[in-house]
Amino acid sequence: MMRFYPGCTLSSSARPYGRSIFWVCERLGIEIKELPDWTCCGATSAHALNRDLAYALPARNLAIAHELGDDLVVACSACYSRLKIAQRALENPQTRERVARVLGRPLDGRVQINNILEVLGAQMARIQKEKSKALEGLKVACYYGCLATRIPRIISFDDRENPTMMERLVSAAGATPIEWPAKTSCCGASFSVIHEAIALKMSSQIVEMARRAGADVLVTSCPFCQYNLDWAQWQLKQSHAVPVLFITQLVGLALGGSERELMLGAHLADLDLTPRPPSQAPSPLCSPLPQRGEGMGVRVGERPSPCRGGAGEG
Amino acid sequence: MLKAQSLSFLEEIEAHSGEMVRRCFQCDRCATGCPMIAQMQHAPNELFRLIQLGDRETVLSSNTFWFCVSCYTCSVRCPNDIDIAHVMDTLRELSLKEGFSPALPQARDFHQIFLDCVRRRGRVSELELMARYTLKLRKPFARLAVGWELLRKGRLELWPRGAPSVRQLFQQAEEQR
Repeated sequence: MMRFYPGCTLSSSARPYGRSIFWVCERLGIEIKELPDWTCCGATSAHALNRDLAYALPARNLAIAHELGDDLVVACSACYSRLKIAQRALENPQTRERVARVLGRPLDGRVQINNILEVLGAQMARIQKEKSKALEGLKVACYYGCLATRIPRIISFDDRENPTMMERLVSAAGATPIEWPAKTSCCGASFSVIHEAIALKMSSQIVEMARRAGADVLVTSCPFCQYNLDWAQWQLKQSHAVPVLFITQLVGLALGGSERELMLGAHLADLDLTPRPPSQAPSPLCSPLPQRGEGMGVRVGERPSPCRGGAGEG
Repeated sequence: MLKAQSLSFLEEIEAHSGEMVRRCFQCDRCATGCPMIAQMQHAPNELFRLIQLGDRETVLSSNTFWFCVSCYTCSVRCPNDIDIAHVMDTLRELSLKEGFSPALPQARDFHQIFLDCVRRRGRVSELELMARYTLKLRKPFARLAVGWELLRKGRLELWPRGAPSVRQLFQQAEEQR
């Protein structure tokens, strides 16, 4: 059995995530149980203002898991990142001593911390075998955001710059993952609260990129990414929104979950999960890319000579 | 011009952060990948050069670390293995401690209210956090629309379940600073 660390958002703004995680795990027979007495990981605010809190708050949860002798599974990318970073920091004896003083209890961070994507990834074959045809033809842009894979000095469960775990899950669930360039871009995170204009721009650019790449739907494994991309489209009153689902909602749909069981009605922006017919799908970029050499005094197809400064290169 | 106290500032930052800021050789990879670079007075590598030169005043009054969104792109790309985003945390902490006025006061307020929510309840209630934050900004109605929408769709928890107290932990952390 694994202990589930939900984090604060999963019973609030990311309730659909929590709901669909438990549904999918039950459906696949993955035994998870909420970590007893868990407390907040401190998120960005702790490490922004106080380094001791930034390590002590996650360390408290690691200590509980260690006492129980169970592995942890974490869904929220921010919680996952903070727990992993704290665990790594505790390897330093000085940090360890400082944190132990703050915690006031013996400290042991030796716990296996799994990301929900790893746990689902291990069930890939089963998902593939038991999926329905519900998602056939649906084009999915997988959005990882920052914190699931970009954790300094940690061996990541997936490639940091080009992760593919969700693409493989989406394929197994019977939908079609698309290639697109913004899958690890930043959505603006807490800036959607402290500086709306910046986050709105960052998030809507990501959504726009997914739309132009032909996505019918976006999936993510991070509560903040889901909220920001969903909120940006709601805020801009976008008529044809690209729905932003949690990965477990999509996998749940393929495994026969109902809209209510997976809380699909809880999105801010419009939710339309029918694949767009190919004729209506926009081309990858609104205007075609200029042909190589065009507009540079060079005829199309002619290789610019390097002695002219290689204006057409790079 | 190198000032007499130059190395002491570098050493202070390195001791607090545990990161070898001296290793920065201005390759610019941090600035190239930074999603917030357009907002920053100094690119991360520029700030690091100023730290190496000991220009305490310019560094601690910069807006750079307030606009850092902690996406860790710079940290995982740095060829010299400096956790740059973590150094930004150090600079934010020191800058506040020494009374420099924050470039984004609302960010400071938000983080303080967030931590106070954790101190009081062990977990964060998003409803409480947003209510207190918008009151602090004196814009209590700013987020009513999205708040109502979230509530209507079952995405706001009205009464968060209780968690064990972490007041003691906070007290210790404050005393240790």
